Amino acid sequence: MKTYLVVTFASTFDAMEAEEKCREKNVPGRLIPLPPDIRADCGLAWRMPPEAEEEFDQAVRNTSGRYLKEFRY
Amino acid sequence: MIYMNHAATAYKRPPEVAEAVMEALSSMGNEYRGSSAGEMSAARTIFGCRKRLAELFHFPHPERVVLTANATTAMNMVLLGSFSRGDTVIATDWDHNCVLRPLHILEQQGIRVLWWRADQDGRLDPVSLQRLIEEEGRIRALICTHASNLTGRLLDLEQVSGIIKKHGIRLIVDASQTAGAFPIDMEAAGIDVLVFTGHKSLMGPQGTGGMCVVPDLDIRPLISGGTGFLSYEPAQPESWPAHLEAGTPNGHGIAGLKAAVEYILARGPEKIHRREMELTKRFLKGISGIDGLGIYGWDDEGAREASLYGSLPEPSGGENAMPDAGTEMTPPGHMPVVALNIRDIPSEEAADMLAEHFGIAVRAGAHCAPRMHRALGTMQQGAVRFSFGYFNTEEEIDSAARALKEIAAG
Repeated sequence: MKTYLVVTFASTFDAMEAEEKCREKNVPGRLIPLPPDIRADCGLAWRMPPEAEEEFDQAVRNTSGRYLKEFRY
Repeated sequence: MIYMNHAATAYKRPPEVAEAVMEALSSMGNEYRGSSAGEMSAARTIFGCRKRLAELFHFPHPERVVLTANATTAMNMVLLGSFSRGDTVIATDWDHNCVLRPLHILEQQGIRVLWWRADQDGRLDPVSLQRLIEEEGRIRALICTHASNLTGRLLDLEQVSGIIKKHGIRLIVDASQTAGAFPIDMEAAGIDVLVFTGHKSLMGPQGTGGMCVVPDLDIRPLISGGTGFLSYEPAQPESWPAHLEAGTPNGHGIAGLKAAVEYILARGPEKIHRREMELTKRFLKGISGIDGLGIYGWDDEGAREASLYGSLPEPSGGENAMPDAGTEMTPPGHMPVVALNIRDIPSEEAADMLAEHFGIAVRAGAHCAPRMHRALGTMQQGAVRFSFGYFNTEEEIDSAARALKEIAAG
């Protein structure tokens, strides 16, 4: 079973901003509907392979968005 | 038709606007109601529109750009969601009914409304604002339009801000007549809430508008409902902009608005203002000396000439550069609006003559600005309002001037 890293956000704006930055930097992954067993204040989550974590962090480091990460199967 | 009613709505728009709407109509899903290509197209477009608007208004918090159906909706949300019984606010004689009518509701709810009154020439004197504040004590907010939709006269927001901020008064600005066609810097002007409409000087589609709200100001949601997330929560989400946005947004319209704002950003509101004021100058010159013509709000000493040029920096050049527009003006200046009457001809009758015999579209009557007409003494006759847009031409301006001459000659 493949493992993903899922990032949740405090707002939809934060999610969209993170997506924009990731697309600009070609960070692998995409926005998905928030998995129902995760609680967050935004209905979107960024799903990516775990090895893309550093690229993600680099891409969003200058944004003001708040987000949390957790590993999922 | 020669359209000169841009203070009511834009008519000719950049072709990119219609193209964006058409594209959205055939490709856009519903924002945050899934993550398919269609839904993501909507989400990205709306997100992009917030960012462009924030850039245009020099507002560093795009997440606090709330999109609504128009300025009236946004202003209702601000006014009905910000004040409580016992609060005092100031509004002005320049204000449009999108301010006046929600304030009427607030007054019935025990909110006190004080009036910064215009003089008989339609001017708002900063000294009288200062006096009002000193006499009346604690005031929560000043609500003011950036430019009168009747005379086109601009308010110097930085000057106003300088007066009210030392008293802790919030500045709520209705930019319906200026957004896109005059530079607005929310930070420099100390604006707490900027309300805008998308379909006038922003040149976007009707059914678009919104507001920018500084982070330290909360507004109670006037409308609550679906957001596409937190569906089991009974209350509207606290995160912005969803806090003030419920229901399916006008994604197709917002796509057009985004294209319109990008068009404006590519040129700069300074250039647009210069072009529109050149047309206004030509019009005023063309109608000067017509017997029986009364013009409202252009009678400040030197204002007519000075305002035509603007205090704005010269364009940076390139293919969009405008001819040298001359010297700097003394604020406050004007937007490209000229309200007038021809002797005692009812304004509706004059406007109808312009439409029927000359194919010229203007606005007559009260312009949803009852207090301004009261100040000017034009409640009975109303006024014939010419308002010019970026795509008007010199030939159209000359036709309008000739038409007025003919009508005035009887």
